[in-house]
Amino acid sequence: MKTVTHKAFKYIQTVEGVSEYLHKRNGLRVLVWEDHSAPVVALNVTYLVGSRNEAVGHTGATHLLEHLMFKGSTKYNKKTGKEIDKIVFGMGAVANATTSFDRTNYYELLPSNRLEELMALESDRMRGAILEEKDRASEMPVVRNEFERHENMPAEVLEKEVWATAFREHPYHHPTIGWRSDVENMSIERLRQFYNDFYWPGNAYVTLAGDVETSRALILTDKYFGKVQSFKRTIPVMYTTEPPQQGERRLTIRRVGETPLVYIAHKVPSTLHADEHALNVLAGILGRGHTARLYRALVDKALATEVSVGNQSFHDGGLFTTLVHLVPGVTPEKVEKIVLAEYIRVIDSGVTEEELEREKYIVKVAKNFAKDGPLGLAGQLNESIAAGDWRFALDYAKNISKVSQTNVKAVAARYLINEASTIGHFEPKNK
Amino acid sequence: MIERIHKSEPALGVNLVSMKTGVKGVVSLRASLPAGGRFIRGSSSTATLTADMLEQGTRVMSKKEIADLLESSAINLDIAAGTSWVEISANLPVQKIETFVGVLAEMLRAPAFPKGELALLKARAIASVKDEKQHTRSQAWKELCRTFFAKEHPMFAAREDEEIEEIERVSAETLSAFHKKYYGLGSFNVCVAGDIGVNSWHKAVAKKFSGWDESKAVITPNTTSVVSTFSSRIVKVADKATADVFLGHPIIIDVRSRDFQALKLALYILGGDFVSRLMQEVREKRGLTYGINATVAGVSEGDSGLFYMWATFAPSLLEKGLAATREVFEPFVGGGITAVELARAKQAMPGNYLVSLATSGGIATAMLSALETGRGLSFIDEYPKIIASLTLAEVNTAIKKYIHPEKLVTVAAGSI
Repeated sequence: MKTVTHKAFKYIQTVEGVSEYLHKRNGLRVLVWEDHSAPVVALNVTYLVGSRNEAVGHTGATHLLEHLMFKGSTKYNKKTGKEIDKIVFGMGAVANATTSFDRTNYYELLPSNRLEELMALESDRMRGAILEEKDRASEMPVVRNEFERHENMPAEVLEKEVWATAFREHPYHHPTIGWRSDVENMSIERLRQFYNDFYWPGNAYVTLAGDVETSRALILTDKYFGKVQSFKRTIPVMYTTEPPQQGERRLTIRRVGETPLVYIAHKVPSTLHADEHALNVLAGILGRGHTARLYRALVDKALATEVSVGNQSFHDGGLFTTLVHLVPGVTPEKVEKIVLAEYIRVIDSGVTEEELEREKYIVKVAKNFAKDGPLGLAGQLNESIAAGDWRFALDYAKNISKVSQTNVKAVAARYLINEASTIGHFEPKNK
Repeated sequence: MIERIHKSEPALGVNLVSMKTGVKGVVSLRASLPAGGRFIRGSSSTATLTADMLEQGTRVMSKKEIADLLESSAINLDIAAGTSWVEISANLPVQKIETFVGVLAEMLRAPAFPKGELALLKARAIASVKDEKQHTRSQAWKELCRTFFAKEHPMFAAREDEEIEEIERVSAETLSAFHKKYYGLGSFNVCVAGDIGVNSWHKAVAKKFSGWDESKAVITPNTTSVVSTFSSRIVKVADKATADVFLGHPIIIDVRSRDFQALKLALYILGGDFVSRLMQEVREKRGLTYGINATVAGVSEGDSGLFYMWATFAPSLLEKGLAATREVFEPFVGGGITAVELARAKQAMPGNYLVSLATSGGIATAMLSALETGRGLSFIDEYPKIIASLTLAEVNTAIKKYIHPEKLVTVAAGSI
């Protein structure tokens, strides 16, 4: 297929139908994937800023800023009669923004004949956001209520505490939503500084997926985002690293509740590390579906109602986690022993060929589902961008297919070790 | 879209509806049959456990064999009982159609209800019910349902202790009898979208479902409701940072009528999206909540259901939040929506509908909904035209006809 070009862009590469371009003037990177099976298109703008760029005193800044980005920009505000929400939701778009450790993104899935309107809007708020104290003051309690919703859920509270215990120096210590007192007291000046530090075209990706010709995608991107000024300063570098953990860490949360929880976490390397795919296979074998080892050891024996296992890796590392919702009356200690015994079984004896092949096939099929509608692939690209390489999602099934039984056994032995573990219990107490 | 939909009856009493989409190698299925909680008076656990037991073993396959076959084929299958329908949702690779239809037919037609597995399932079900005591949203919702509906109504919600007793009483024989009576052909709807070949689905379904017994399920609408003796109630749940609040009252409306679409449009303006009146006033202007919305539930089968508004408020902001909600709600009922708002909804609702059809799963869901509600498949194309044709008078008349502030009951759950 002939490569589409545009004078404002440098063509970089095409992987699995996704083409990458670099805007020559301001450094904006653009990804385009064409799929004309339905008259809809996804527009996603990813900024390489997340809670990893925060420190105590302004934790939650990325997330609070994400909320304020809907309050208005130079051309889109109440005075001009063009309010962001009214335009986006007025056309029936599925739209939202999300913040994570490593990135912030703003996305819309919309009728493809309305794309140009949202390209204009997203480009305007890239450098033209209006950040005012009155908006911070009214939005802060909204974010605080979001925080409170998370606090209502014991599993989320436990997860937050485990991450805060496992990471002591690296900012993955902080929950993305921030600590409550930071959310309540952060100034508008600090948020403006945060915006001016990180919201630049050279620190962003625009992804267009769905019913749009690549040539039109480039014309529209240049027309609107091409005008956005390039860096006037250097993006602040996050240089804090987490030192090696030298012993097991434990915590317990007690509050009124019904269901005990156990959360077992082990340090793992970054998403782009060579062990990533073997760790994901391991997580699948331990926790995916009703054939998984931990499902059979816990749920099938009525010790637990639910078990979930994940290799939660990010740009700078992460945790391999198992969360178990216990049947009331079962002790966390008993379940913890069973989970760790299953880990040991993999370390000692590895996994079967049947288990490995099942995981590979599931991933291969999932790759096809990712291209069922524009938003799925746009979402995967968004996470890959955050991890450090947008091609990660597209190469994923291919790399999973290369994982061997030896690889899985080796990563279990390398990472599921006592010295690198953090174990949390939620113990319900009486009213 | 209707011209791309293929409809057939591979076996008497099975409606197979399919549509090829642009995706390669995979298929999404949404199917249902009427075997939900409404068919056993006051005992929804029987229907729930019957559906949950389907994967626990059949006459020729053990639980392990079912799970192994599905997961090694990368088939993602979920079966769950609702108030009226048992809903089946699956994603699968196109090469595994025969495997999938075969195992689904085995699970639906010949479950064994092994007693040992039932005992384990009941233990997990009881644990889940206990866990619900800590969920503020669930507690508030169930209390609202108990306020307006008696035990024989599909929307009645038992208290946790009663629900646990009910689960404990369930036996394999109870489930087997329920299955024998209600699982079968008649209103079995199967909708598939994705990389499909019509013939392969038709053949597989015909082969595996022909000759299945006829279901005895007949959905008889229950239009009863109870007049509440109170206007507000608090459910105490300890150690919660935020409260969940429902404000609602019973409603009877035909989902196939223009009135229904007029009311849905009205509620879209009241609390259907980010720029709705409730979100703009209670969240955007006053900063009192992360989210608030308004909708109707439980009316699909002609039953009395609920109109409700739902929000979360920190306990310290509860009074302010409720006052702000009422300040938005009262002029909405009194004055209706404006021509400008009608025009906005006429743009937004069809656009939103279009993007909901962007995936195979979205299309299969829309097809199944059209069949379950009796609107017919042509509704998928007609919906945007219906919205475009609604007049301001129709919408505002629907508000007056169906929304009654004097009947509104408020239930809040949390550490209040």
